[in-house]
Amino acid sequence: MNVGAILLLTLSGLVLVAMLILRGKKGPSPCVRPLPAFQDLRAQAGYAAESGGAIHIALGSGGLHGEDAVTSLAGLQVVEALADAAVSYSAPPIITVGDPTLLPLAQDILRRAYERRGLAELYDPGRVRFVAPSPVAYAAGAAYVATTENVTANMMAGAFGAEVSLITDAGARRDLSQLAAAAAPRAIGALYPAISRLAVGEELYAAGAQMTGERRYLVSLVAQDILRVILVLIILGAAGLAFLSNWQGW
Amino acid sequence: MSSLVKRWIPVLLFGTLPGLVVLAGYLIPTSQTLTYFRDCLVEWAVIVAGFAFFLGMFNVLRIHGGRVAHLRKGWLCSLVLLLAALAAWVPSVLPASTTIQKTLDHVTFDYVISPLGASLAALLVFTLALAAFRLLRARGSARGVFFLLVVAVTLLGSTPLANLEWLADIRDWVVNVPGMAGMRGLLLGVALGTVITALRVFVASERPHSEL
Amino acid sequence: MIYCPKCGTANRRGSRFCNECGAPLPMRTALRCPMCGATNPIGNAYCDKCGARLIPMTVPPFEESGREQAPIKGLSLPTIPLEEKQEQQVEDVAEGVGTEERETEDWLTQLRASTMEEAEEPETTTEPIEPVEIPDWLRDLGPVSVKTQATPGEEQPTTKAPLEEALAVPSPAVGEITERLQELVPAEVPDWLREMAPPEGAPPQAAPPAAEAAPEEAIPATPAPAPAEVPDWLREMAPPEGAPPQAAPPAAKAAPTEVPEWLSGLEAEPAPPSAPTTPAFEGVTPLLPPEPGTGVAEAEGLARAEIPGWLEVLRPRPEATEAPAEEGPLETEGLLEGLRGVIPPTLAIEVPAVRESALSPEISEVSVARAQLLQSLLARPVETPRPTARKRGISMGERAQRWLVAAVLVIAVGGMLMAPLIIPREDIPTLTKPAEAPEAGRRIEFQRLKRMHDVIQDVHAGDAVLVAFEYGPAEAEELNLVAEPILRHLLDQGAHISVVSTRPEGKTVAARLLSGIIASEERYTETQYARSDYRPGGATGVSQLLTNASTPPHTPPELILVLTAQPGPLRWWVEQSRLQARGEGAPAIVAGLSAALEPAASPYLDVSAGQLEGAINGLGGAAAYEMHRGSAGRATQRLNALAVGHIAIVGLMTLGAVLYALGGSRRRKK
Repeated sequence: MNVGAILLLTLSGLVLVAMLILRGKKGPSPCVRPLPAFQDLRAQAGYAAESGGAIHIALGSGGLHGEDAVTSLAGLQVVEALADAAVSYSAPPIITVGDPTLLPLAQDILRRAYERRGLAELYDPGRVRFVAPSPVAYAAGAAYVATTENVTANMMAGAFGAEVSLITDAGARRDLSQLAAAAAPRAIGALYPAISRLAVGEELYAAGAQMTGERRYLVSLVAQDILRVILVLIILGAAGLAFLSNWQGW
Repeated sequence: MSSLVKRWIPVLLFGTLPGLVVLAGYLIPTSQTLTYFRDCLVEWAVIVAGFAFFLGMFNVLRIHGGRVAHLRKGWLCSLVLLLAALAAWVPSVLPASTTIQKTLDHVTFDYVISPLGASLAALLVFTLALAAFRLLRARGSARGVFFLLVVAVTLLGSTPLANLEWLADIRDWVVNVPGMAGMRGLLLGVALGTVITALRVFVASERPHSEL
Repeated sequence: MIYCPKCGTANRRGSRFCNECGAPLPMRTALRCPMCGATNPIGNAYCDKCGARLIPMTVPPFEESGREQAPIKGLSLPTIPLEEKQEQQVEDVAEGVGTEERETEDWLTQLRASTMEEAEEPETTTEPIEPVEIPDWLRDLGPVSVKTQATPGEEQPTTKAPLEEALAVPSPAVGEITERLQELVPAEVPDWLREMAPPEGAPPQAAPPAAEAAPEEAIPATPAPAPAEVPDWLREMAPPEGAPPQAAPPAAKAAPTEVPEWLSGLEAEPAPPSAPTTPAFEGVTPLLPPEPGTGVAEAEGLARAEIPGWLEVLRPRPEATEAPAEEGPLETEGLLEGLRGVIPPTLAIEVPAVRESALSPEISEVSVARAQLLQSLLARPVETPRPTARKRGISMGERAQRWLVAAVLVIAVGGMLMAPLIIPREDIPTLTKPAEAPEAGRRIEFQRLKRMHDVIQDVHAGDAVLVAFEYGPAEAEELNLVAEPILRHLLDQGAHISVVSTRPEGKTVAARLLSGIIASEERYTETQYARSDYRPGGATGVSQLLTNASTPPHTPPELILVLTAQPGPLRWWVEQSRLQARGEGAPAIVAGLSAALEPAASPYLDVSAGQLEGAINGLGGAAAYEMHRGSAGRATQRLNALAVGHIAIVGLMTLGAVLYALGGSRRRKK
């Protein structure tokens, strides 16, 4: 583990984010290319309200600990962005989690959406369900929810593995609209053949920017882009140097 | 001042500072102090995460218990779930190394948990095969056809089929060159997103637990 | 951000209730719904609570005259500030442009306009009301002279009159009256009010007794209103001092506005003897027409305003106006002190005038029955039925596809697994080729396998080997087959195995597998399988395990074997072991991985990286390892089934592609 590289990366990211946050307050909002996985989600919320159903949001088997923490937070952004609209439409989503550390967060997001509308008495904590801690068992439980509950759409956003295909198959059996956002390559491999509206890899982290348009999310994406460019240049430079050294026998 | 007290001091004290301590403890393992504090903080996080399982358990009891109590749709499955959870919990509270505890542990793991886990994993083969069968319905384009070709080459090249060694070589090249390159790019992008999001958590810009 | 007044929590802009305590959040201005009374933010077209329309659909009749009027939002919030509009109208009046017509409409507009400020803004201080110039005749109506600036030379009274105090009042009720009056008083005095003003020079009338006692009860003093400009035309129209009250000029001589019949009729009637002698201003409500003979000064040249038809309809009948004046409660404070029968200002402003219903008081039995039915329905607790989503399913064709795929897989894989039970093994066709074949040497996988074999071959008897079981029951079926040949090799070398895991079920899986392996061979002993340790926490757990393993009385491991189906645990072990062993002899790491993990593990297997010495992936790698060691195990037995499964899946994919391609072309042709 190269300490210097990691510290440099962290520091540069911090500086960039700070600069962009400060700068972002004055400048125009950055543009984000449309991602169907998130753009269609609001339409699905409206359809769920009209048809009397609900959207099933599967947040995956990751929690707030471990390396899936950030992926799970990105999935929670989807819940946060959708909660207000869904509560306004009187069609709150059914949220399934595979780790209990996500449970109180997801419940709190939904509760605050109800409070903002002055409908605190209508909040039902049972809309957020802890299914199972094991990834495959969680996928089976989430598939059960998708097939038995009054669900009109499936949204999978968070830390998944190949077991996500159980959920997509359950959705396909019921002819549900399905959207997904995943970062793990194995989950992407399982989702790609089944779902056309798919956000791949770091597009998951654009959920907040796409759905809320808040400046802090947009600025983070800009910082991410800048760091990516820097990284690409470093990789290309290192590859070029390695090539030259091999060629010249240095 | 109130904003400083209410918002920034707690965030810095209980969020940013412990995070930096753990990060430094990973990056500088030779420092005994940092390693000690890192281990303490991680253990505390593990304990809190463990207690979160109680929340999950209460949630399961609430949902499935309510379903059984009111005989709502699916109450039989909920009843089976509750009984199975109780049965799995019993061996852990029995005195260890006793015959009954070993027997129950053996039966629960060997005849219930393992087979169910394996069955669900095996079901993945079916769902993935079905998804591949219907690939062109979701991805009816040249990309879909290309995806199918790559999957076919990878599957057939993974097993040492007789007279198809050349396919194994193609498969090795596909997996280790373009496949690994694409996966590395994906993982690098995910890592960047992770870093930026983690930084947002550090500076209290990402707070799903609060309205601020 | 909006801060909750109760708990101080910051809430998003637009929130109506605090998301922490549920208290209603203040809104700067609000529209009151005419149906349910709920307050809504400005700009709402429909009520948030009941859905009623807040913006009227019809255009008020007076707009048909082509005059530009302020659009009405909800019940009222004029979009044109009153001050600007008054200034504009003052200018127009000064130029003598359409004054009369504008007067009537303006005071009506002002009367209609009402600002509905929420009471949640206690910090909002009442702006000091600018002193308004009260005309002499109006001033004379009050019990005490009012401080003005319009009459130079006149002594400014030092004591504050109830009128003055009332005009500068902070209390809501009287303040609203004051606002209305101030809106009425400056510059734009309606005809009927002007006509009722006593002529200049007339002696001030005695104030009612109650008014004298009012000062003690009067509203706390506020700065006196500044005098407003009395337009020249108003001053000109006022009767000269000492002149007797003049009759209203005939319609022909007046400005080209028609006098309604009811107004001209009122002028002709003599004053009733019981008419109050109190100043006409005090005895008149905004909605009552001027009573004839009550001191209305009909100045020459005053044009009668054209009363629109809809306003004329609202005119109360004469007999209805008399009773309230005598029977109503006595006002004891404020501007209307001493008056009886005054409609409470709040009601006058907020509630439209009540008209007599033209409906017959007789109610039929059918109506009664309907009303009772409606009442019973409303009293019943109703839960609004929500539509249920249509029951979705898949078509017969898709069901057939599912059954087809399932059947093919079960027959292909299950058949190959069951075949040894039915057919002799030597008769079963072999689809796979052993990894020892020369062509296999080129393959990367075989090179990694060989490196791993060599590393394990270098393990001596008694050497400590750390085996990390980083998988659970779901992955056990595959990884047990991968781990078994490696563990047998280690046990054959006489290694001392220590089991560790960062997963709670890892220890149980390890115990099952090792017990089975040790029991299967007599040369293996239980002492070779030493201890098991479990530490959660991901990379930190791995770090602790490594630290414990290297701490006496334990012997530092010579080799680390990682068995996992996830990329995370592999990365933790590789990174933490290299981190801890920096500068010292780091133990070699080899891995037994799931087939799906091969792409993720390839970077670690690069020889130049020096991180993973070797690895085998999946059932194929396990079978190759067994063949390389010269013993066929469970992995080799299942290799045929694996090959058939792969072929079946590729066949299904091809069939599906052909079917959907043909189906797509047929649809395009249609």
